[in-house]
Amino acid sequence: MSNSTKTILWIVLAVVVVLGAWWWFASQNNGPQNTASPTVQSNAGAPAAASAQNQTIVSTSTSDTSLDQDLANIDSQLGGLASDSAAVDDSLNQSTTAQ
Amino acid sequence: MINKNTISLAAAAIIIAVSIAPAFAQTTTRPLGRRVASSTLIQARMTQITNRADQEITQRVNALNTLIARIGDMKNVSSGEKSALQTTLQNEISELTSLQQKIASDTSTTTMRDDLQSITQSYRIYALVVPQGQIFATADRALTLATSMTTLGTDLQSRISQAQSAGQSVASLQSTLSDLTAKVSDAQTNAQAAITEVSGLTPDQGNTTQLQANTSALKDARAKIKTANQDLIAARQDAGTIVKGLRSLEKNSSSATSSATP
Repeated sequence: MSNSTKTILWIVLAVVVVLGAWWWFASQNNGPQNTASPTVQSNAGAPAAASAQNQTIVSTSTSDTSLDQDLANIDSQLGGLASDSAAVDDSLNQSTTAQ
Repeated sequence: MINKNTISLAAAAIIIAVSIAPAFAQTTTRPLGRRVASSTLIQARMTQITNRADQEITQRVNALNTLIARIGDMKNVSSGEKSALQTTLQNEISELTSLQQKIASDTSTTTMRDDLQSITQSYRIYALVVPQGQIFATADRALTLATSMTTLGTDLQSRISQAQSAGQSVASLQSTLSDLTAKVSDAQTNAQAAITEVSGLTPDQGNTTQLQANTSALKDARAKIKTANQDLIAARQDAGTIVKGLRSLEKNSSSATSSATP
């Protein structure tokens, strides 16, 4: 094996090691984001929506944005309350025919 | 000598005997074909009752399971109370399942009919248990919402006070906030009263007076929940009015500052 071939092999090996190290660090930094993403997706489903309808708001700030968020949360809870109230009406109406 | 009366009496006795003889013949020597047909009819009737009972019980068990899940989502009761409610409902399911098995193994149509009737009279799943649980859950949600509204009211009071300190006129906003607080308080009172009203109700077991009392209590609790719902909607409108008012004050304040700047 000639010296030039050995040099080329050393260079290829060095590049592979550097790229491997870069990939490993990159995957470490992105790891938590990748694992958090599915949680966010699963929380976007129907059970999470139902849960949000029944969560009390916790005041952290009195900014405009915070007040808007609180109002949106209350609107969601009011939607849940209307749904529950309709279910009570249905069950009481049904109770007159089925016991 | 046989007189006319004796002959008439004998004739009447013969006529009566002849007319009732077929009835005795039917009960004592009923043909085999008729007996088989009657047995088949009874069997068909028993199958019909069993199917009906299965259908009625399955519907009730499904409704109870839905209610158990809903109660698990309640926020304003302790885990012990929640667990007790769920256990009560779970016991109803167990008793209904046992009744279903009993009906399937009953050997007389009379017993079956009594058991079928007990699905409605002894348990009152639709007439009492389900509406009662739904009233609990709805009142609980109203109380959760009232807590959120109270927190929001505190935040709004803080913003109103800031505006007042900045020299803004906040009388109207303060009045609206007082209305919000009163509505939330009324909603809490009504929701709590609805829970209290239905918490002691038990199945009437066929007692008409108790049935009427239970129905009346459930309807009254529903009315209280409706009032609580309307109070909370009004409180939400108040909150929206206050937020808009605060923004309007901010705009006026910033435009006054910019026009005063040389």
